[in-house]
Amino acid sequence: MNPTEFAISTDLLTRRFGQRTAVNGVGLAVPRGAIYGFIGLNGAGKSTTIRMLLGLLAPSSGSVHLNGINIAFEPVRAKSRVGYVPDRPTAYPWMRVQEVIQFCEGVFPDWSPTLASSLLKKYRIDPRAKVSKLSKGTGAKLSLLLALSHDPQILILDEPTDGLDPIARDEFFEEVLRASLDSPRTVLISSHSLQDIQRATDHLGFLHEGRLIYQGRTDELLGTTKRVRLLPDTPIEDAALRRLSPDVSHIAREGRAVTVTLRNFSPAVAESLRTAAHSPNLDIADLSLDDAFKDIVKGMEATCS
Amino acid sequence: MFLTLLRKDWRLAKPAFLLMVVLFFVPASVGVAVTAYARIFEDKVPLLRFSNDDFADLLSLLVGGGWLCIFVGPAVAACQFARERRERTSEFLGALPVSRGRIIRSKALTTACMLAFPLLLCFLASISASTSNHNPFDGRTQALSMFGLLSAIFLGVCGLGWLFSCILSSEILATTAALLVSATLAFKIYLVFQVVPSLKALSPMQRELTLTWTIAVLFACFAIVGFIAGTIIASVRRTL
Repeated sequence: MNPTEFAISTDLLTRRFGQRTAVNGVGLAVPRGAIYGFIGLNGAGKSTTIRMLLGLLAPSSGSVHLNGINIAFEPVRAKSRVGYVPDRPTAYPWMRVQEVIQFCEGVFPDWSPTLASSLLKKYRIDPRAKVSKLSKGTGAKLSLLLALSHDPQILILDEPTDGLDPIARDEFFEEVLRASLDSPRTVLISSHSLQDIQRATDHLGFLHEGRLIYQGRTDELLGTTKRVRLLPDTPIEDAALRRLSPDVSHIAREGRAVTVTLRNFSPAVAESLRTAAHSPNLDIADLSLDDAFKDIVKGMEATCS
Repeated sequence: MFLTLLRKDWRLAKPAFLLMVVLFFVPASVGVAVTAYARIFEDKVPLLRFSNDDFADLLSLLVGGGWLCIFVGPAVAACQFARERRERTSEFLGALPVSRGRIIRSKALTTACMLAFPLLLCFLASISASTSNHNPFDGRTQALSMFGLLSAIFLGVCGLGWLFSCILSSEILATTAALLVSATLAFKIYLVFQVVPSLKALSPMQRELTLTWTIAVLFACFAIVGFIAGTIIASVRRTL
Protein backbone atom coordinates (compact mmCIF):
# COMPACT_ATOMS: atom_id res chain seq x y z
CA MET A 1 0.00 0.00 0.00
CA ASN A 2 1.40 3.36 -1.02
CA PRO A 3 0.65 5.83 1.83
CA THR A 4 0.62 8.83 -0.51
CA GLU A 5 -2.48 7.45 -2.26
CA PHE A 6 -4.57 7.76 0.89
CA ALA A 7 -5.49 10.63 3.17
CA ILE A 8 -5.04 8.38 6.21
CA SER A 9 -3.14 5.14 6.13
CA THR A 10 -1.72 2.93 8.83
CA ASP A 11 0.54 -0.03 8.42
CA LEU A 12 0.33 -2.88 10.97
CA LEU A 13 -0.54 -0.36 13.66
CA THR A 14 -0.26 -2.00 17.06
CA ARG A 15 -0.53 -0.72 20.59
CA ARG A 16 0.01 -2.82 23.69
CA PHE A 17 -0.71 -1.81 27.28
CA GLY A 18 1.30 -4.29 29.31
CA GLN A 19 0.08 -7.77 28.37
CA ARG A 20 -3.09 -6.46 26.68
CA THR A 21 -3.03 -5.66 22.97
CA ALA A 22 -5.52 -2.83 22.44
CA VAL A 23 -4.86 -2.39 18.72
CA ASN A 24 -3.50 -5.27 16.72
CA GLY A 25 -1.95 -4.83 13.27
CA VAL A 26 -4.54 -2.37 11.97
CA GLY A 27 -4.12 -1.32 8.34
CA LEU A 28 -6.48 1.60 7.74
CA ALA A 29 -6.71 2.96 4.22
CA VAL A 30 -8.94 6.02 4.04
CA PRO A 31 -9.22 7.38 0.48
CA ARG A 32 -8.92 11.13 -0.09
CA GLY A 33 -12.28 12.86 0.11
CA ALA A 34 -13.98 9.90 1.80
CA ILE A 35 -16.27 10.09 4.79
CA TYR A 36 -15.09 7.06 6.70
CA GLY A 37 -17.11 5.55 9.52
CA PHE A 38 -14.94 3.90 12.12
CA ILE A 39 -17.11 1.45 14.02
CA GLY A 40 -16.51 -0.87 16.91
CA LEU A 41 -17.89 -1.99 20.25
CA ASN A 42 -16.79 -0.32 23.47
CA GLY A 43 -13.15 -1.18 24.11
CA ALA A 44 -12.59 -2.32 20.52
CA GLY A 45 -9.63 0.07 20.26
CA LYS A 46 -11.19 2.94 18.24
CA SER A 47 -10.08 5.75 20.52
CA THR A 48 -6.62 4.24 20.93
CA THR A 49 -6.29 4.05 17.13
CA ILE A 50 -7.47 7.65 16.75
CA ARG A 51 -5.04 8.82 19.43
CA MET A 52 -2.25 7.13 17.50
CA LEU A 53 -3.44 8.74 14.25
CA LEU A 54 -3.01 12.14 15.88
CA GLY A 55 0.33 11.37 17.49
CA LEU A 56 -1.20 11.67 20.97
CA LEU A 57 -0.08 8.13 21.70
CA ALA A 58 2.97 6.44 20.24
CA PRO A 59 2.29 3.02 18.70
CA SER A 60 4.08 -0.05 20.01
CA SER A 61 4.78 -0.88 16.37
CA GLY A 62 3.56 0.10 12.92
CA SER A 63 3.25 3.49 11.29
CA VAL A 64 0.72 6.24 10.59
CA HIS A 65 0.69 8.44 7.50
CA LEU A 66 -1.55 11.50 7.18
CA ASN A 67 -1.61 12.86 3.63
CA GLY A 68 1.48 10.74 2.99
CA ILE A 69 3.40 12.28 5.89
CA ASN A 70 4.67 9.93 8.59
CA ILE A 71 3.42 11.41 11.85
CA ALA A 72 6.32 9.92 13.83
CA PHE A 73 8.90 11.79 11.76
CA GLU A 74 7.12 15.03 10.91
CA PRO A 75 4.39 15.48 13.54
CA VAL A 76 4.02 19.25 13.15
CA ARG A 77 3.65 19.14 9.36
CA ALA A 78 1.32 16.14 9.53
CA LYS A 79 -0.94 17.76 12.14
CA SER A 80 -1.04 21.22 10.56
CA ARG A 81 -3.82 20.15 8.15
CA VAL A 82 -5.75 17.95 10.54
CA GLY A 83 -8.80 18.94 12.59
CA TYR A 84 -9.68 16.85 15.63
CA VAL A 85 -12.98 16.67 17.49
CA PRO A 86 -12.66 14.58 20.67
CA ASP A 87 -15.47 12.77 22.50
CA ARG A 88 -15.72 15.68 24.93
CA PRO A 89 -14.32 19.20 24.71
CA THR A 90 -10.69 19.27 25.77
CA ALA A 91 -10.04 22.98 25.24
CA TYR A 92 -8.85 24.91 28.29
CA PRO A 93 -11.90 25.00 30.62
CA TRP A 94 -10.77 28.20 32.34
CA MET A 95 -10.54 30.11 29.06
CA ARG A 96 -13.41 31.96 27.44
CA VAL A 97 -14.52 30.85 23.98
CA GLN A 98 -12.92 33.91 22.40
CA GLU A 99 -9.63 33.19 24.17
CA VAL A 100 -9.54 29.58 22.96
CA ILE A 101 -10.14 30.83 19.43
CA GLN A 102 -7.32 33.37 19.79
CA PHE A 103 -5.05 30.66 21.18
CA CYS A 104 -5.71 28.41 18.18
CA GLU A 105 -5.25 31.36 15.85
CA GLY A 106 -1.75 31.78 17.24
CA VAL A 107 -0.93 28.12 16.76
CA PHE A 108 -2.38 27.16 13.36
CA PRO A 109 -0.55 28.69 10.41
CA ASP A 110 -3.65 28.50 8.16
CA TRP A 111 -6.19 29.73 10.69
CA SER A 112 -8.98 31.77 9.14
CA PRO A 113 -10.42 34.37 11.57
CA THR A 114 -13.26 35.05 9.11
CA LEU A 115 -14.26 31.39 9.02
CA ALA A 116 -13.98 31.14 12.81
CA SER A 117 -16.22 34.15 13.40
CA SER A 118 -18.77 33.00 10.82
CA LEU A 119 -18.92 29.54 12.46
CA LEU A 120 -19.21 31.20 15.86
CA LYS A 121 -22.31 33.03 14.67
CA LYS A 122 -23.68 30.01 12.85
CA TYR A 123 -23.33 27.73 15.86
CA ARG A 124 -24.68 30.48 18.15
CA ILE A 125 -21.83 30.20 20.65
CA ASP A 126 -21.35 33.10 23.08
CA PRO A 127 -17.70 34.17 22.68
CA ARG A 128 -17.65 35.49 26.26
CA ALA A 129 -18.80 32.20 27.79
CA LYS A 130 -16.30 30.12 29.71
CA VAL A 131 -15.53 26.77 28.09
CA SER A 132 -16.33 24.95 31.34
CA LYS A 133 -19.82 26.50 31.39
CA LEU A 134 -20.81 25.36 27.88
CA SER A 135 -23.47 22.70 27.49
CA LYS A 136 -22.44 19.36 25.94
CA GLY A 137 -23.94 20.26 22.58
CA THR A 138 -22.33 23.72 22.47
CA GLY A 139 -19.03 22.22 23.65
CA ALA A 140 -19.14 19.75 20.76
CA LYS A 141 -19.87 22.60 18.36
CA LEU A 142 -16.95 24.59 19.77
CA SER A 143 -14.68 21.57 19.18
CA LEU A 144 -15.99 21.40 15.60
CA LEU A 145 -15.41 25.12 15.13
CA LEU A 146 -11.82 24.80 16.37
CA ALA A 147 -11.29 21.79 14.12
CA LEU A 148 -12.68 23.48 11.00
CA SER A 149 -11.39 27.03 11.24
CA HIS A 150 -8.00 26.22 9.75
CA ASP A 151 -9.66 24.51 6.79
CA PRO A 152 -8.16 21.07 7.45
CA GLN A 153 -7.71 18.48 4.73
CA ILE A 154 -8.50 15.75 7.25
CA LEU A 155 -11.15 15.90 9.95
CA ILE A 156 -11.03 13.25 12.67
CA LEU A 157 -13.98 12.89 15.02
CA ASP A 158 -13.85 10.52 17.98
CA GLU A 159 -17.40 9.75 19.12
CA PRO A 160 -18.23 13.46 19.00
CA THR A 161 -21.94 12.99 19.70
CA ASP A 162 -21.46 10.88 22.81
CA GLY A 163 -23.88 12.07 25.47
CA LEU A 164 -25.74 14.48 23.18
CA ASP A 165 -29.53 14.44 22.95
CA PRO A 166 -31.00 13.27 19.60
CA ILE A 167 -31.66 16.81 18.35
CA ALA A 168 -28.16 18.05 19.20
CA ARG A 169 -26.76 14.87 17.62
CA ASP A 170 -28.68 15.46 14.39
CA GLU A 171 -27.59 19.08 14.28
CA PHE A 172 -24.01 18.08 14.84
CA PHE A 173 -24.02 15.47 12.08
CA GLU A 174 -25.61 17.95 9.70
CA GLU A 175 -22.82 20.41 10.42
CA VAL A 176 -20.18 17.74 9.82
CA LEU A 177 -21.80 16.77 6.52
CA ARG A 178 -22.08 20.40 5.48
CA ALA A 179 -18.44 20.97 6.39
CA SER A 180 -17.37 18.00 4.30
CA LEU A 181 -19.36 19.31 1.33
CA ASP A 182 -18.18 22.93 1.66
CA SER A 183 -14.58 21.99 1.13
CA PRO A 184 -13.04 18.79 -0.24
CA ARG A 185 -11.79 17.04 2.85
CA THR A 186 -11.48 13.57 4.27
CA VAL A 187 -13.53 12.81 7.35
CA LEU A 188 -12.93 9.91 9.72
CA ILE A 189 -15.67 9.56 12.28
CA SER A 190 -16.13 7.04 15.03
CA SER A 191 -19.56 6.81 16.58
CA HIS A 192 -21.88 4.47 18.41
CA SER A 193 -24.80 5.85 16.43
CA LEU A 194 -24.77 3.54 13.42
CA GLN A 195 -27.85 5.22 11.92
CA ASP A 196 -25.90 8.46 11.69
CA ILE A 197 -22.86 6.64 10.35
CA GLN A 198 -24.98 4.93 7.68
CA ARG A 199 -26.47 8.27 6.69
CA ALA A 200 -23.20 10.16 6.60
CA THR A 201 -20.42 7.84 5.46
CA ASP A 202 -19.34 6.38 2.16
CA HIS A 203 -16.59 4.14 3.57
CA LEU A 204 -16.51 1.95 6.65
CA GLY A 205 -14.05 0.20 8.89
CA PHE A 206 -15.13 -2.30 11.57
CA LEU A 207 -12.79 -2.72 14.50
CA HIS A 208 -13.26 -5.71 16.76
CA GLU A 209 -11.00 -6.59 19.68
CA GLY A 210 -8.25 -4.42 18.24
CA ARG A 211 -8.42 -5.93 14.74
CA LEU A 212 -9.84 -4.37 11.60
CA ILE A 213 -12.34 -7.01 10.48
CA TYR A 214 -13.90 -5.11 7.60
CA GLN A 215 -12.93 -2.15 5.46
CA GLY A 216 -14.64 -0.98 2.32
CA ARG A 217 -17.39 1.08 0.76
CA THR A 218 -20.64 1.47 2.72
CA ASP A 219 -22.86 0.86 -0.34
CA GLU A 220 -20.82 -2.22 -1.27
CA LEU A 221 -21.24 -3.69 2.20
CA LEU A 222 -24.95 -2.97 2.37
CA GLY A 223 -25.48 -4.03 -1.26
CA THR A 224 -23.72 -7.37 -0.89
CA THR A 225 -24.62 -8.35 2.66
CA LYS A 226 -28.05 -9.98 2.86
CA ARG A 227 -30.06 -12.04 5.25
CA VAL A 228 -31.43 -15.31 3.89
CA ARG A 229 -34.29 -16.85 5.84
CA LEU A 230 -34.82 -20.58 5.46
CA LEU A 231 -37.43 -22.98 6.82
CA PRO A 232 -35.66 -26.35 6.67
CA ASP A 233 -37.76 -29.50 6.45
CA THR A 234 -35.09 -31.39 8.37
CA PRO A 235 -32.73 -29.92 11.00
CA ILE A 236 -29.39 -28.74 9.63
CA GLU A 237 -26.22 -28.02 11.60
CA ASP A 238 -24.49 -24.61 11.56
CA ALA A 239 -21.27 -26.27 10.46
CA ALA A 240 -23.00 -27.76 7.43
CA LEU A 241 -24.27 -24.33 6.41
CA ARG A 242 -20.85 -22.75 6.93
CA ARG A 243 -19.25 -25.45 4.79
CA LEU A 244 -21.45 -24.45 1.89
CA SER A 245 -19.91 -21.01 1.56
CA PRO A 246 -17.14 -19.02 3.22
CA ASP A 247 -19.44 -15.99 2.90
CA VAL A 248 -21.75 -17.23 5.67
CA SER A 249 -20.95 -14.73 8.39
CA HIS A 250 -23.69 -15.35 10.94
CA ILE A 251 -26.43 -17.91 11.62
CA ALA A 252 -29.41 -17.22 13.87
CA ARG A 253 -32.21 -19.63 14.78
CA GLU A 254 -35.74 -18.87 15.81
CA GLY A 255 -37.88 -21.96 16.21
CA ARG A 256 -37.61 -23.91 12.98
CA ALA A 257 -36.49 -20.87 11.00
CA VAL A 258 -32.81 -20.34 10.24
CA THR A 259 -31.51 -16.88 9.28
CA VAL A 260 -28.16 -16.82 7.54
CA THR A 261 -26.24 -13.59 6.99
CA LEU A 262 -24.25 -13.74 3.77
CA ARG A 263 -21.38 -11.44 2.85
CA ASN A 264 -20.81 -11.11 -0.91
CA PHE A 265 -24.33 -12.31 -1.54
CA SER A 266 -25.10 -14.10 -4.78
CA PRO A 267 -28.35 -15.82 -5.80
CA ALA A 268 -26.40 -19.01 -6.50
CA VAL A 269 -25.14 -19.26 -2.92
CA ALA A 270 -28.63 -18.55 -1.57
CA GLU A 271 -30.03 -21.27 -3.77
CA SER A 272 -27.38 -23.74 -2.60
CA LEU A 273 -28.34 -22.95 1.01
CA ARG A 274 -32.01 -23.56 0.23
CA THR A 275 -31.22 -26.85 -1.42
CA ALA A 276 -28.98 -28.05 1.40
CA ALA A 277 -31.56 -27.12 4.02
CA HIS A 278 -34.44 -28.65 2.04
CA SER A 279 -36.29 -25.41 2.56
CA PRO A 280 -39.33 -24.74 0.44
CA ASN A 281 -39.06 -21.00 1.23
CA LEU A 282 -36.24 -18.57 0.64
CA ASP A 283 -36.67 -15.00 1.91
CA ILE A 284 -33.92 -12.55 1.09
CA ALA A 285 -33.74 -9.25 3.01
CA ASP A 286 -31.49 -6.19 3.00
CA LEU A 287 -29.68 -5.26 6.18
CA SER A 288 -29.27 -1.96 7.94
CA LEU A 289 -25.72 -1.03 8.90
CA ASP A 290 -26.63 -1.76 12.50
CA ASP A 291 -27.65 -5.34 11.64
CA ALA A 292 -24.73 -5.88 9.26
CA PHE A 293 -22.27 -4.76 11.92
CA LYS A 294 -23.86 -6.92 14.62
CA ASP A 295 -23.97 -10.00 12.37
CA ILE A 296 -20.37 -9.60 11.23
CA VAL A 297 -19.16 -9.19 14.83
CA LYS A 298 -21.25 -12.13 16.08
CA GLY A 299 -20.02 -14.21 13.17
CA MET A 300 -16.42 -13.35 14.08
CA GLU A 301 -17.04 -14.33 17.69
CA ALA A 302 -18.71 -17.61 16.65
CA THR A 303 -15.82 -18.46 14.32
CA CYS A 304 -13.25 -17.65 17.03
CA SER A 305 -15.04 -19.73 19.66
CA MET B 1 3.33 30.89 18.10
CA PHE B 2 5.77 30.75 21.02
CA LEU B 3 4.24 33.89 22.56
CA THR B 4 0.80 32.26 22.36
CA LEU B 5 2.14 29.25 24.25
CA LEU B 6 3.86 31.49 26.81
CA ARG B 7 0.66 33.42 27.42
CA LYS B 8 -1.26 30.18 27.93
CA ASP B 9 1.40 28.71 30.26
CA TRP B 10 1.48 31.93 32.27
CA ARG B 11 -2.28 31.72 32.80
CA LEU B 12 -2.02 28.01 33.61
CA ALA B 13 0.23 28.67 36.62
CA LYS B 14 -1.12 32.14 37.47
CA PRO B 15 -3.24 31.08 40.49
CA ALA B 16 -0.26 29.34 42.13
CA PHE B 17 2.03 32.23 41.22
CA LEU B 18 -0.32 34.83 42.71
CA LEU B 19 -0.62 32.76 45.88
CA MET B 20 3.17 32.67 46.05
CA VAL B 21 3.39 36.45 45.63
CA VAL B 22 0.78 36.99 48.35
CA LEU B 23 2.65 34.64 50.70
CA PHE B 24 5.89 36.42 49.89
CA PHE B 25 4.54 39.77 51.04
CA VAL B 26 2.53 38.49 54.04
CA PRO B 27 5.30 38.75 56.68
CA ALA B 28 6.42 42.19 55.46
CA SER B 29 2.81 43.42 55.30
CA VAL B 30 2.20 42.20 58.84
CA GLY B 31 5.42 43.94 59.87
CA VAL B 32 4.30 47.22 58.28
CA ALA B 33 0.89 46.92 59.95
CA VAL B 34 2.38 46.18 63.39
CA THR B 35 4.92 49.00 63.13
CA ALA B 36 2.27 51.47 61.96
CA TYR B 37 -0.01 50.33 64.78
CA ALA B 38 2.77 51.00 67.30
CA ARG B 39 3.02 54.59 65.98
CA ILE B 40 -0.54 55.24 67.11
CA PHE B 41 0.68 55.34 70.69
CA GLU B 42 3.59 57.70 69.91
CA ASP B 43 2.71 61.38 69.71
CA LYS B 44 3.31 63.40 66.53
CA VAL B 45 5.00 60.59 64.63
CA PRO B 46 3.52 59.87 61.16
CA LEU B 47 2.18 56.34 60.89
CA LEU B 48 4.35 55.25 57.97
CA ARG B 49 7.60 57.07 58.69
CA PHE B 50 9.86 54.17 59.61
CA SER B 51 13.26 54.33 61.26
CA ASN B 52 16.31 52.58 59.81
CA ASP B 53 15.82 49.82 62.37
CA ASP B 54 12.27 49.36 61.17
CA PHE B 55 13.42 49.17 57.56
CA ALA B 56 16.06 46.60 58.39
CA ASP B 57 13.43 44.51 60.16
CA LEU B 58 11.05 44.82 57.23
CA LEU B 59 13.76 43.70 54.80
CA SER B 60 14.43 40.63 56.92
CA LEU B 61 10.69 39.97 56.96
CA LEU B 62 10.75 40.17 53.17
CA VAL B 63 13.41 37.44 53.19
CA GLY B 64 11.14 35.55 55.59
CA GLY B 65 8.45 35.74 52.90
CA GLY B 66 10.88 33.94 50.62
CA TRP B 67 10.95 31.02 53.09
CA LEU B 68 7.17 30.84 52.99
CA CYS B 69 7.32 30.63 49.19
CA ILE B 70 8.98 27.21 49.57
CA PHE B 71 5.51 25.79 50.27
CA VAL B 72 3.92 27.20 47.10
CA GLY B 73 6.88 27.28 44.69
CA PRO B 74 6.53 23.58 43.77
CA ALA B 75 2.86 24.20 42.90
CA VAL B 76 3.98 26.81 40.35
CA ALA B 77 6.30 24.24 38.77
CA ALA B 78 3.78 21.40 39.12
CA CYS B 79 0.96 23.27 37.38
CA GLN B 80 2.58 23.09 33.97
CA PHE B 81 2.30 19.42 33.05
CA ALA B 82 0.16 17.90 35.82
CA ARG B 83 -2.67 20.40 35.45
CA GLU B 84 -2.75 19.91 31.68
CA ARG B 85 -2.98 16.18 32.24
CA ARG B 86 -5.67 16.45 34.95
CA GLU B 87 -7.84 18.73 32.83
CA ARG B 88 -7.19 16.58 29.71
CA THR B 89 -5.99 19.70 27.92
CA SER B 90 -2.76 17.83 27.18
CA GLU B 91 -4.81 16.02 24.51
CA PHE B 92 -5.94 19.33 23.04
CA LEU B 93 -2.37 20.63 23.09
CA GLY B 94 -0.97 17.39 21.67
CA ALA B 95 -3.33 17.51 18.68
CA LEU B 96 -2.08 20.98 17.68
CA PRO B 97 0.73 21.40 15.17
CA VAL B 98 3.27 22.35 17.82
CA SER B 99 6.44 20.40 18.49
CA ARG B 100 6.96 18.77 21.87
CA GLY B 101 10.22 20.73 22.25
CA ARG B 102 8.43 24.05 21.83
CA ILE B 103 5.76 23.09 24.36
CA ILE B 104 8.40 22.12 26.93
CA ARG B 105 10.52 25.24 26.26
CA SER B 106 7.51 27.47 26.80
CA LYS B 107 6.62 25.75 30.07
CA ALA B 108 10.22 25.81 31.29
CA LEU B 109 10.64 29.51 30.49
CA THR B 110 7.36 30.45 32.21
CA THR B 111 8.27 28.44 35.30
CA ALA B 112 11.78 29.90 35.40
CA CYS B 113 10.43 33.48 35.25
CA MET B 114 7.83 32.81 37.92
CA LEU B 115 10.32 31.17 40.27
CA ALA B 116 12.91 33.87 39.67
CA PHE B 117 10.53 36.56 40.97
CA PRO B 118 10.65 35.78 44.72
CA LEU B 119 14.33 34.86 44.50
CA LEU B 120 15.20 38.19 42.90
CA LEU B 121 13.27 40.12 45.54
CA CYS B 122 14.89 38.07 48.30
CA PHE B 123 18.30 38.74 46.84
CA LEU B 124 17.67 42.49 46.70
CA ALA B 125 16.26 42.46 50.24
CA SER B 126 19.24 40.48 51.53
CA ILE B 127 21.74 42.82 49.86
CA SER B 128 19.91 45.95 51.06
CA ALA B 129 19.63 44.61 54.60
CA SER B 130 23.29 43.63 54.70
CA THR B 131 24.45 47.08 53.57
CA SER B 132 22.35 48.99 56.11
CA ASN B 133 23.83 50.09 59.42
CA HIS B 134 21.18 48.13 61.21
CA ASN B 135 21.97 44.84 59.52
CA PRO B 136 19.97 41.99 61.03
CA PHE B 137 22.25 39.39 59.36
CA ASP B 138 25.59 40.33 60.97
CA GLY B 139 27.39 41.13 57.73
CA ARG B 140 27.02 40.65 53.99
CA THR B 141 28.48 37.14 53.98
CA GLN B 142 25.86 35.86 56.37
CA ALA B 143 23.11 37.60 54.40
CA LEU B 144 24.29 36.02 51.17
CA SER B 145 24.76 32.61 52.84
CA MET B 146 21.20 32.80 54.09
CA PHE B 147 20.04 33.76 50.60
CA GLY B 148 22.08 30.89 49.12
CA LEU B 149 20.46 28.39 51.50
CA LEU B 150 16.99 29.77 50.78
CA SER B 151 17.58 29.64 47.00
CA ALA B 152 18.92 26.08 47.14
CA ILE B 153 15.98 24.78 49.19
CA PHE B 154 13.43 26.74 47.16
CA LEU B 155 14.80 25.57 43.81
CA GLY B 156 15.32 22.02 45.11
CA VAL B 157 11.69 21.69 46.18
CA CYS B 158 10.53 23.33 42.93
CA GLY B 159 12.76 20.97 40.91
CA LEU B 160 11.05 18.03 42.59
CA GLY B 161 7.68 19.67 41.87
CA TRP B 162 8.62 19.91 38.19
CA LEU B 163 9.78 16.28 38.17
CA PHE B 164 6.61 14.98 39.83
CA SER B 165 4.46 17.12 37.55
CA CYS B 166 5.96 15.26 34.59
CA ILE B 167 4.94 11.93 36.14
CA LEU B 168 1.69 12.52 38.06
CA SER B 169 -1.69 13.71 36.83
CA SER B 170 -2.52 16.19 39.58
CA GLU B 171 -0.67 19.35 40.52
CA ILE B 172 -1.77 18.99 44.14
CA LEU B 173 -0.38 15.48 44.28
CA ALA B 174 2.86 16.59 42.62
CA THR B 175 3.27 19.51 45.04
CA THR B 176 2.53 17.33 48.06
CA ALA B 177 4.99 14.68 46.86
CA ALA B 178 7.71 17.30 46.33
CA LEU B 179 7.19 18.79 49.80
CA LEU B 180 7.03 15.39 51.49
CA VAL B 181 10.19 14.08 49.81
CA SER B 182 12.05 17.31 50.62
CA ALA B 183 10.92 17.39 54.25
CA THR B 184 11.71 13.70 54.77
CA LEU B 185 15.20 13.99 53.34
CA ALA B 186 15.97 17.21 55.24
CA PHE B 187 14.83 15.54 58.45
CA LYS B 188 16.94 12.44 57.72
CA ILE B 189 20.03 14.62 57.29
CA TYR B 190 19.26 16.40 60.54
CA LEU B 191 19.03 13.00 62.28
CA VAL B 192 22.35 11.92 60.77
CA PHE B 193 23.94 14.99 62.30
CA GLN B 194 22.49 14.02 65.68
CA VAL B 195 23.71 10.43 65.53
CA VAL B 196 27.05 10.19 63.68
CA PRO B 197 29.83 10.54 66.29
CA SER B 198 32.24 12.51 64.10
CA LEU B 199 29.52 15.05 63.40
CA LYS B 200 28.42 15.09 67.00
CA ALA B 201 31.99 15.86 68.00
CA LEU B 202 31.90 19.17 66.11
CA SER B 203 31.31 22.38 68.01
CA PRO B 204 27.68 23.54 67.83
CA MET B 205 28.60 26.38 65.51
CA GLN B 206 30.62 24.15 63.18
CA ARG B 207 27.88 21.54 63.22
CA GLU B 208 25.26 24.10 62.31
CA LEU B 209 27.41 25.42 59.48
CA THR B 210 28.09 21.91 58.13
CA LEU B 211 24.41 21.00 58.38
CA THR B 212 23.41 24.19 56.55
CA TRP B 213 25.85 23.57 53.72
CA THR B 214 24.96 19.89 53.45
CA ILE B 215 21.27 20.79 53.09
CA ALA B 216 22.10 23.55 50.61
CA VAL B 217 24.20 21.23 48.43
CA LEU B 218 21.64 18.42 48.64
CA PHE B 219 18.76 20.68 47.58
CA ALA B 220 20.87 22.23 44.82
CA CYS B 221 21.34 18.68 43.53
CA PHE B 222 17.56 18.11 43.78
CA ALA B 223 17.04 21.24 41.73
CA ILE B 224 19.44 20.16 38.99
CA VAL B 225 18.28 16.54 38.91
CA GLY B 226 14.57 17.46 39.22
CA PHE B 227 14.52 19.98 36.40
CA ILE B 228 16.72 17.92 34.05
CA ALA B 229 15.01 14.57 34.75
CA GLY B 230 11.54 16.14 34.49
CA THR B 231 12.39 17.73 31.17
CA ILE B 232 13.79 14.48 29.81
CA ILE B 233 10.70 12.56 30.96
CA ALA B 234 8.39 15.16 29.37
CA SER B 235 10.35 14.91 26.12
CA VAL B 236 10.41 11.15 25.82
CA ARG B 237 7.17 9.95 27.37
CA ARG B 238 4.66 8.56 24.90
CA THR B 239 1.89 10.95 25.87
CA LEU B 240 2.24 14.57 26.92
